Amino acid sequence: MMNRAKGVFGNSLRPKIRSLGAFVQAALGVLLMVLLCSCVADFQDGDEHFFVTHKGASMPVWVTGNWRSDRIVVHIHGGPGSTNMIYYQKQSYQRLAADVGVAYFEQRASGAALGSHRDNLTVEQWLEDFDVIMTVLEHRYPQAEFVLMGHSWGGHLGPKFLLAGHQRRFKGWIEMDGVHDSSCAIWAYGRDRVLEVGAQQVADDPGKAGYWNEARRFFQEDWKCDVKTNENNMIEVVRGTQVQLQHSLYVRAAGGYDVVPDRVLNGAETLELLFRSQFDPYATTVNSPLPLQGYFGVDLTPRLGEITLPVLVLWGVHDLITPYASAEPALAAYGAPADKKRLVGFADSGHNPWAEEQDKFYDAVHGFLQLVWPAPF
Amino acid sequence: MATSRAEAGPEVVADSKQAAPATEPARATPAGLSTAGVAAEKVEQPSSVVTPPTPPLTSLVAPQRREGVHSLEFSYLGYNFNWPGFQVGYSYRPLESRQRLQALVVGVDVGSYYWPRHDIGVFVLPRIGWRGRHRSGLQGEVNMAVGYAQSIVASESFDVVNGQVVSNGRPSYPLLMFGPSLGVGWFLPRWGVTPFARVGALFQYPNFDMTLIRFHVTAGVEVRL
Repeated sequence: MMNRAKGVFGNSLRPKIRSLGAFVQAALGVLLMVLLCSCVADFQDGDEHFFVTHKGASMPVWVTGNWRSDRIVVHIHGGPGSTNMIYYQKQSYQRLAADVGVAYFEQRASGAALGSHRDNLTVEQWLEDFDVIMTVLEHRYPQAEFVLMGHSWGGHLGPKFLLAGHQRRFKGWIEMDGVHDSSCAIWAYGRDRVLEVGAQQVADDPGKAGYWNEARRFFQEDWKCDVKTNENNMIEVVRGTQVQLQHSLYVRAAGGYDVVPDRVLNGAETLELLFRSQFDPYATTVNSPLPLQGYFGVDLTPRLGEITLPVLVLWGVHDLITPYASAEPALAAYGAPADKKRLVGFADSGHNPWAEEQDKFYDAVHGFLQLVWPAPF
Repeated sequence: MATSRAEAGPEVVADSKQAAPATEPARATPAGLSTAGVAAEKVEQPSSVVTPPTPPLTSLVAPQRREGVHSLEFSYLGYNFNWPGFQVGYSYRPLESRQRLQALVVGVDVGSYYWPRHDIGVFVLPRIGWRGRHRSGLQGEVNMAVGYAQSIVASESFDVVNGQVVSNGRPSYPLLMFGPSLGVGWFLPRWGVTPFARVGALFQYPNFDMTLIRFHVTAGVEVRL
C-alpha cells in the first residue's frame, strides 16, 4: 500500500500537486475562453478575399479599403519570396486604403501563398502569374481603374510587366526603393557602401573587427557578380547560405535597411501577424529569398523610357540594399512627360520609407493619385 | 473483510455489510468484468443467514471508477494557438505499470481547423506517447504524432483559361504532418473523464518544398470507455 500511495510523484508532493491541479483546471477554462475569442486584425468589413490558382500555386488576393471607388492600387510586394504583411499595418497604407482600394496579392512560393512544390521559379513565370491576377481583378472589378505600385523586388517585376505590353491596364506606376536595376554594377555599389560602413563600425568599436573581416572575406571569395558580364552567383548556396541572403544580412548589419528598425516592425505588430492575420510570417522566413531565375544581373533602366505612364519614384536616402544611387537615373529614364513623373526622397529612411516616414509617404502617394485620378476622393 | 480491490466494484455489495468506502480502483479486464467480481465470488454467504433489509444501494455503493484502457477524446483545437478547430481522438493503453500510474498510449486524432483567408485543414494524426499520473489524478503526457493533412484554400479560387476567368473552387494540397506535444490533465475517476490540455508543434511538408512549423494547443476531455 505504501508503494501505491507514493505514486510516481511521491507523497511529499501531494498537497502541492493538488493545488496545482486546481490551478490547471482553472487555467484550462480560461484558455478555452481565450481561444474561442480568436479573431483577425487585418480583414475589414467590405473587404474581399480570393485566391488565384495557377500552375500549382494558390496566390491569395486581398482587396481592402475603398475599392468601391473603382480606383484600385495593385501592390507588388518585395522579395522575391517576401509578403504583403509588413505594409497593411502602417497608417500610411491604411490612410491610402481609406482613399482608394488596395489589392494585395502574395506571389508564388511567397508569404501566405499555398502550393506543394517550387516549380517554375523564373521571372517569366512571375510575369505570367501577374497577368492572370490582373485578368481576374479586371473581371471582378470591371469598372475599376488600376495604378500599379511595387516595392523592392516589386520594383523589378512591375516595370518588367509594363514593358511586356501591359501599360494600357494601368493609369500610373509607383516605384518604391525598387530594383529596376538589378545589374552587378548596382549590387557592387551597395557592397562597397556596406563595407565602408563596416569599416567605420570597426573604427568605433574594434570588437566588431571579426564580423566585418568575415564580411570582407565573403564579398571577396563567395560573392560573385561581374560588373562587365553580369554573371553572378546570387541565387546559389555557398557555405550553406544563399549568396543574396548573406548579402542582405550584411546590409542589415550596416544599417542599410532601416534607420530605426522598430519603426518598420515592432513586437506588437509581429504578434498580430503571427496570431491574428491571414499572413504567414514563418513561411515568409522560410521561403525568402527565393532563388529566382532571371532576376539578378538584369538592368531595366535602358528600357524605362518605353514606360510612358505617370510615374512616382519613392526612395529612402539611407537604403543600401537598393541604393538611392539608382533613383535619379530611373526618374530620368522613365518615358513619362516631366510634369508626370516625380521623385520623392526620404532623408530619414532606408529601404522602407512607407514605415519610417509615413506621413510624407502618404502625402506623396496621395498627391500622385490625385494627378492620376483628378476627381476628388 | 474483503480485499481492497473487492471493495471498489459494485459487484461486491450484494450484501451491504460487505460495503466500505473505496480506496483503490478496480481493474477492468478486457472482457469488461471487474477483478473485484472474482474476489466477491469467493465470499459466499451461508444460505441460512438472514440478512436485514438492505438500505438503498446508492447510499452504500462506492463510486464506480471507469478505468478502461480505451478512451475517446473531444477537444477544442487552437491551430497556431489562435485559429479555431476541433479534434476527436481515440486512445488505447496497451501497456501500463502495475499501479496504473504510467502507461504507454497509442491513438489517433482526427480533426480540422480554420485559418481565415488562409486555409482549412483536415487531418488524421496517429500518435504514440507516455502518460504518468499521480494518485491525486494529476497526469502529464508526452506524445509524438505523424500523420496526413489536406490543406484547402480558405476562399474561392480563380484561374484564367483561354482568356476566360473560371472558378477553381477550393484547391487543396496534401501535407505530411509530424511533431511532438506535451499535455497535462486531471483524471476524475468518478466519471472516468480527464479534462486535459496539450501544446505542441506540427511540422508540415511540403509547402513549396519547404517544411513549415505550426503550433497548436488543445483543450478538452478524455472519456474512458
